[in-house]
Amino acid sequence: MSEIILENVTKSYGNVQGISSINLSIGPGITGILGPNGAGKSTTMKVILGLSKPSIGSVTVNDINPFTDWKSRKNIGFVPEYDCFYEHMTGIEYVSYFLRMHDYNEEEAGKIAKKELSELGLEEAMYRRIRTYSRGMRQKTKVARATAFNPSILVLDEPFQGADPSTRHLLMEKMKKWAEEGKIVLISSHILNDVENLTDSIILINNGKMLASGNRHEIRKLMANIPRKVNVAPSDKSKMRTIAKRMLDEEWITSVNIDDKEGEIVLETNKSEKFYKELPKIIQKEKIGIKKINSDDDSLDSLYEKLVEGVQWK
Amino acid sequence: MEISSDFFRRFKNLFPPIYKDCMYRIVKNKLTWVMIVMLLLPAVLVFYGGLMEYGTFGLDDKRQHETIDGNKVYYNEYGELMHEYLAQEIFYGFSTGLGELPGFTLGLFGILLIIMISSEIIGEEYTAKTMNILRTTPITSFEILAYRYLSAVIGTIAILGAYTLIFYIMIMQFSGIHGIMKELDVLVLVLKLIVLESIAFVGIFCLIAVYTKRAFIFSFAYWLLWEGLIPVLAPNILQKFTVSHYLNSIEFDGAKSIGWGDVSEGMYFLEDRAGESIATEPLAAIFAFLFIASLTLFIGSIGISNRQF
Repeated sequence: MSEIILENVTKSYGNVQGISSINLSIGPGITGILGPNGAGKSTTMKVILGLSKPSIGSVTVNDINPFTDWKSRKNIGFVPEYDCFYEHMTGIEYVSYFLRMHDYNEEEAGKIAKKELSELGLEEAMYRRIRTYSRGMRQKTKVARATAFNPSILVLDEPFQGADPSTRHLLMEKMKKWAEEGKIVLISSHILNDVENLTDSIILINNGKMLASGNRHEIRKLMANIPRKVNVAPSDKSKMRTIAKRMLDEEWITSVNIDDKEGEIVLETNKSEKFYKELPKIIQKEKIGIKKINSDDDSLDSLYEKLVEGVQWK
Repeated sequence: MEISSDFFRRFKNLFPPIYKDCMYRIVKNKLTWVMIVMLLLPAVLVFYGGLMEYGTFGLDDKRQHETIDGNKVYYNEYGELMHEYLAQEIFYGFSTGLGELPGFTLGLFGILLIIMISSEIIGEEYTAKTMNILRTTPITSFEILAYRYLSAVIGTIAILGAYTLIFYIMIMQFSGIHGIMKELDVLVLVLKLIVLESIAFVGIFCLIAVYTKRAFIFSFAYWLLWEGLIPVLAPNILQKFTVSHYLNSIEFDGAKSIGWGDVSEGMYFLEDRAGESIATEPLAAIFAFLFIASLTLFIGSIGISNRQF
């Protein structure tokens, strides 16, 4: 079984620290690396790919050091964030070219490249020079190059950047398929919805430090003490003030705001677990009909924002 | 340094696409054509000068000739054998710098072409970020460099060789078919110099391109300051650390073999201050070229494998 292990990995560029003391173990399935620009996502990927040597710590990909052992690259496909083309080549020439590096002969490489590019919807465009490609086509060509040799590990840096909706959908389907096939699919993104739709397994990075890793819900549990807002909309708008008054009596409610326009009460709690346990009881006791309970904070977006804002969890 | 144990088996599969790509880039590069024009321009001017001086192709033919064993042998205005004069003074001199005309065709534009091709072939991989991708594929740093090096050597030899052949025919046709055939050893000597200088200089310039971003400037500075000045200013053992010394040794030996009477070590900067010869034996010089190429590939591939992205 494929496995990527990072042990206490620090990577410095002169005085600038790219990543610091990262410990990770990534197995088959989709794993998302999340963080704002400059957080260290790409650096983490580079050390996994062997493009960068850790200053401290060790990286192993299937028990092989990717920086020193070039053979480890047989099993890794990489889709970078940036363009990396021989612009004068056609799509099929480009994918074939890199397949030759994987010991496929000319005929095999051509066949596989054609099949891979066709699957990604580039049947006609594959015979055109890459310099004429749109961003979406370029993204697909990069993906075709990285996956054509059927690697067991796929590293995709911001794969959805610049991709049109149909390309995004296609790539997401592909990623799910690869994960089902038992491959390690590591994606970095700052488009949180995309990652949320693909996986629960996430790694949050900011300022080169790993803020959290694991299941999205598990991370959420860790964040029980992080203040969060919950919007409660009663069926009967006249009951809004009753609820507000009642909630103020609870020590786990930190603030209550009434949004008359939306017909909602915005409750803020610093003990979310208790909140979710007690709220239904209160509603039932007060016999108030509830139209909607919604917390924006439940999205990965808010989880990520809170973490990168520097909110500490215990 | 990364080296694959089955380098030669993989060569058959890996080299052709890399070679094709490199050749495409060489041919499509506008600078290549600028260099070719710069090479051809003086050749055309010399040819035009020859036409004015001697006339040919049924024009006002001013050449003197006699027929020996059925061959037309031409003479110049001083009564010298035309083929010897053209081969030594014009073709060889113009190509290498040792002759009647200032030699800059191969000496300057040839080197500029080699610098341009070597810098482009390696530097472009970094600029286009394709090197990052190559470094994530199962191809060793030695293979990355060696195949590009080989492509560049083939490219430069093909261009400079073709130019030399064209130049030779353009110049030597004034001495007739007999003259063209008679001086083939001069042509072979110049072609030998092109092959050897390509082998060594492509390696050095590729190495510079691996380690520096402004490869063209650094390569030109290296060639001008080290290869250009050391043989002239340092007639001692320091010369042995230049490619020029070995090229000069091959040239000197070639000129002697052809039988040109007035050649001396001093003409080729191969004399020390005491007047002693410091020329290297031709076979040793050829090994020196191969050693330089191997060393540059070795150091260059270390540079690629240690490069961090």
